[in-house]
Amino acid sequence: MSKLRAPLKDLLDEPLPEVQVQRIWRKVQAPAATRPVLPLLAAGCALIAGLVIAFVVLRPAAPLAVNDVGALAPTQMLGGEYPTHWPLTDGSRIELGAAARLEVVRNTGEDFAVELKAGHAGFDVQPGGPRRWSIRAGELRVEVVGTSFVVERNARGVAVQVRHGVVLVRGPGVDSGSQRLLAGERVFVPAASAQPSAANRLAPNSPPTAASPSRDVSSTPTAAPLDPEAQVHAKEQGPRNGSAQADHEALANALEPRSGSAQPKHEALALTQERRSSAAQTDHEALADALEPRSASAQPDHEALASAPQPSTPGVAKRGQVGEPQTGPARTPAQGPEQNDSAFATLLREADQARQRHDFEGAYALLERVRGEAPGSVHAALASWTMGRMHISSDPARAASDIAQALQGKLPDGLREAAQARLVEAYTLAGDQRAARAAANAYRAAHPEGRYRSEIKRWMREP
Amino acid sequence: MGPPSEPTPLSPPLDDAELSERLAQGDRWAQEAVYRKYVQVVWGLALRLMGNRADAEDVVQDTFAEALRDAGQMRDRRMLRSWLMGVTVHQAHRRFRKRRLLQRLGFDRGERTHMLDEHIGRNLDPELATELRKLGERLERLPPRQRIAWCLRYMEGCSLEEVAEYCACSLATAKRDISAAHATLREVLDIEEVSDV
Repeated sequence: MSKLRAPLKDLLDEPLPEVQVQRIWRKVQAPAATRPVLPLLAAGCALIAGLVIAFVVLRPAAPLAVNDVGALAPTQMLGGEYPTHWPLTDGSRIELGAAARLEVVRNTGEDFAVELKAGHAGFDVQPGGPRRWSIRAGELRVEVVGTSFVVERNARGVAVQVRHGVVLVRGPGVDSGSQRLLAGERVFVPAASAQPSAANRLAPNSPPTAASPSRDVSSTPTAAPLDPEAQVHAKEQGPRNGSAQADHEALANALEPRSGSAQPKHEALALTQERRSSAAQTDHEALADALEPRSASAQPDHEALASAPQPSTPGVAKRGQVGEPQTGPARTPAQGPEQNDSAFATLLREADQARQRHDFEGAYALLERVRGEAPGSVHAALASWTMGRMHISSDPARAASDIAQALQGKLPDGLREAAQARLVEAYTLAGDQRAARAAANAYRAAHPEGRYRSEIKRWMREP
Repeated sequence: MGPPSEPTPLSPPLDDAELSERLAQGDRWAQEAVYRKYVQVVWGLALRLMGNRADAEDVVQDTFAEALRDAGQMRDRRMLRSWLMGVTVHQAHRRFRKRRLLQRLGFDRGERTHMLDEHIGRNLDPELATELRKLGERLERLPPRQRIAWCLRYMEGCSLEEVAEYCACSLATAKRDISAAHATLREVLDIEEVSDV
């Protein structure tokens, strides 16, 4: 075998022909023109990206479905005895209050139409979605693309309140046939929509008009009462930082049947700018709390709680919570039962305000005062419930005691399920597993299909 | 490309330092002069490193394109030949990386062999020619870094320092790569050791 010796290049014969030399030189002089690989690659990538985007964007959207449940078929009825919430596959949510009934009318990739037969429904529509949402409630139709709003329908009429975004409300009872509602605005159309001019815009900062001289209610908490019919026909434009719950509360008040002339007429609209601003956070929380399970840190709001359904004394808790002039904590409740209710509601409201100022001691004092001075009342139950919520993180044992006390009292039905669930949480956090199990069993017995079942299971598993 | 310049007589030929200087200034005549002077050197090196004409041609093209573009970065204008060798090795490395990427993506099945047999001198001893063919097959299986270092050392006859310089690595790394490649090739070939060339 011959040995190979370096440098081996001497053994090789590999000249580059002149033709090739010239060809390479031409390429060297114009490298970009002769090597279009990168531009072609970039163009190819751009083309593929465009096709993918076109496929995603132009692909017909599937009909909406409820997460983990299935598609919403036309004529399907949502809602029931208890509040329910329906998370949809596109990220939107529908929240139905107790006894609300919502019928699916049409559900395609382009259209989602429902009809609110009765009750309170909140819609949180994912912005930028492919389908047009349309909600019909009586004669009223709400059209929306991406926003959050509440529709409430009862015997007196239909109210629409926009939390954020923009909706278009159409109907014979609406001014000019249709109105565009912005965040914080609301409209109410009475059931007898034969009065086409009934729905009027009401802006908090607008000057009073001859037709509604007292509607600039935001400028003063003691605004003169509105005509009872006119007030519920009003569309109020609240400040943008106004709360959904405050608005919802006003809507609820507007929809609530009144007890004759003794009822203050301006309640629904006499919410001041100041109050709206200060109540914004907790009002909103309370609304969400009434509709869905909340984290333990969420704080309730007396005004919203007091407006929750109270079969025994309808409307009583609402009086004084809106439109009443604020009074100092030292004020003694008035003599009559209704005045007392109003005063207690005011105390609860003041407790809320103290809580918002982080004056928790002041809030406790006011709540304790309500419990002490109105034992056995709805207000006392609400005070206990609130105290329980406030204590649940810092002193769960005390929270459990407060919540149990609220449940033994006249806590409104709409809050009982949440309170029963939170009782389980409080006992669990306090380490009282036996009591937690008992409370959980009580919850399951009262609410076999309750919306806090998964939370309770988690609390019991991971105290 | 720079502005056209007046033709410069080829006799006496310009030395590398002056060519480099004019090259750095974008002199088009100097560019072609450099290309003409070194294209065969670069071609030979590229062919031996890459093992096939297509890849070698690409390496030559890229080498001169880079040289014409980056001539201003040359540190020692007298070392034009060495600098071009270094650029060629750099381009060969790039070509191997691209080949490996294409293989991973499934666009290159990697079935080529080193075409040394195509370039074997016509008057070469048949036994040596056979050995060179075997060498071509074995070279194709070496990792690119070892292959390039070994080729520079044993085919081009570069010193260890030159190998390290062209490969842009330390002397120790160059030695290690050459030794590893040589050990592999020695299993089937009888190649004379080089202390230094």
